[in-house]
Amino acid sequence: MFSLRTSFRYAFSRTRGQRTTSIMILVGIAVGLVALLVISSVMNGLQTAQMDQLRNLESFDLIVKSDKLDGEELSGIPGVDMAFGFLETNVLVVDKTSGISSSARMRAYDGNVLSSSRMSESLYLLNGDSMPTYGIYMSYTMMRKLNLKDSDDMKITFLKPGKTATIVPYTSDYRVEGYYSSRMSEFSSSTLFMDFDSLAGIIGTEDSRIGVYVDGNQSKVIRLIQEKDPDAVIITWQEYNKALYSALMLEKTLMYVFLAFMFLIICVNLKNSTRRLLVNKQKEGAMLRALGCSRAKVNFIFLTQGMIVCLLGEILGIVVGKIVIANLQGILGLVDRIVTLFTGRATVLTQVPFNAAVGNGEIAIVCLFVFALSLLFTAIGCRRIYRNEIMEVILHASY
Amino acid sequence: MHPIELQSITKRFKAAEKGEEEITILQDLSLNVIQGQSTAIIGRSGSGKSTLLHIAGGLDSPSEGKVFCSGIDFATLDDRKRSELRNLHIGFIFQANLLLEDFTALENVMAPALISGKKAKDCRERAVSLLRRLGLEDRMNHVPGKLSGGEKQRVAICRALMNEPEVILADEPTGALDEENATDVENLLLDLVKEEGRSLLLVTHNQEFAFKCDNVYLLKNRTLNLEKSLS
Repeated sequence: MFSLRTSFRYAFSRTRGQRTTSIMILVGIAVGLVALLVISSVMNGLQTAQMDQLRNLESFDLIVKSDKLDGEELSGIPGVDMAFGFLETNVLVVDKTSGISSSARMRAYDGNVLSSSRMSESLYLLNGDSMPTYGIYMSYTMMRKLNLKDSDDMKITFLKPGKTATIVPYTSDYRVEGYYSSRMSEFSSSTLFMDFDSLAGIIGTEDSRIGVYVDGNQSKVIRLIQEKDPDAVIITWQEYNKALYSALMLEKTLMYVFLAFMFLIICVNLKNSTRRLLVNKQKEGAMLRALGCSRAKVNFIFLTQGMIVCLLGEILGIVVGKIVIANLQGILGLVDRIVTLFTGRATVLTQVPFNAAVGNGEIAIVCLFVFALSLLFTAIGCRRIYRNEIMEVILHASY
Repeated sequence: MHPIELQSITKRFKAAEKGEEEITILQDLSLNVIQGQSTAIIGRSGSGKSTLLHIAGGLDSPSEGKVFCSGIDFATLDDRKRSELRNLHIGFIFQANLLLEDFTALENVMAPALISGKKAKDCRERAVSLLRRLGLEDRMNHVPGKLSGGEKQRVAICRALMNEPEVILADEPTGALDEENATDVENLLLDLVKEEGRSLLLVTHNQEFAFKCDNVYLLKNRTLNLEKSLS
């Protein structure tokens, strides 16, 4: 207890500016931690939202290619929320009035999928029924891209299997039957929907696949599908979006590495502060030995003072970080108002379109890392105490 | 059994530069600090008085010879045990009072007891009583920076007595004080040591102070010569 009390007093000693230095290091650690936690929470939120969108719209949880199974059969497997056949092909869309063209992806679902809860979390039908029946469902993004208006007709060219050639172009006129929007701009700007039977009539059902939404254990569902059809090709959403997933992970890792440099700088200050404290307090260290503290106890006192600064910095950082994360929207709104006040222009920071959150495990790892780094640098700062015979200080002081 | 017993102590220091010979500062020197008596060692600066005191307190090791504290050979103990022995059996007073700057006078006095693991509540009473006896009741909650030199040295005396050690080792305790304060501290130290029934091993330049002690030795030419003896 005496050692801890002495460490605390030394960490915030009023002599020779030690208190100011320690408070600055403490605040530095806290600010670093707040930055790390807030950035991490925003990235987590972004990643989760992005992945949810991908799983709901782009790749589902699983995509199954099977000659034996259909959506209805897979729906019966325990752990499967929903399964449906779908077709997908590349098309060329031309607005007949303006002549503007764009390549796109035509999708068709076998069933009333667009109104399912998973799909409707990410895709909003703005006009039209739950499924297209005679025409095309198109996003507003794409309509703007093609300069299409409500009444405009368009030409769509498909590539379908030919009698003599492998594939041949097939063009037909269509009208916009309904509009949708989604949070994934890449999806909205490239995807059209049409009736499953109509698309099957053009390109056939050979390339038909089954989209599966899973509400149980994904690995277990995969195993059950493989039991039903060992030849089925199953692609998970992670495999399907591997490139993006890896990019997000890389981005996060790099962010951690860069922020780790900030802690490195703070810890160098901690080392210097410990070294200065040791020089200032070496007579007291020797006195503590004379009073009955063992060498290990004196070492512990000097080492612990650095750890106290680090721990207090971490606690402050976690508390402030959590408060900032919980009030991120409000803080960004405030920043926006301030920026608008000075520049007269609204920023794009007004809203974060997802929930920023950071897990306790992540906080624990970050804190452990900072603690370990602080311990290392404080120990480096304490090297003098290990190298020198501290009692000589008293001997010289006595002469 | 004496509180401190030095047997045939020799202390050599390594040469500062290569090629130079080792310096022998103490040569085959023996001394017993007798229970309840005060012993002073006088000698010129650099004669090895402080070194002898540090060896007696287990702060330094002799090159040859043995040091016993309450009958226990320091050389047989590891650092932790040696520190415990020092904490419970020896009180130190140094010329540069070396108080803990970030602790109040009261906390400084309580330090040896807290180091030995006693609870703050239990040792507070004795620390307050010691400070009162030395007229520091109004200065108990002041940090050393707010105390005068004489007050600091009185706090150091209280601290040395806190754990009721068998022996007090004092290294020039009045060396940094003016004459008036020095006399006060000398008298206080000797009176307290007598009242508490402790032994005192004092190292000083001050002959007047030294000869107030029961036994006086002169450290000259690396050995001790008895100048005055109570017996």
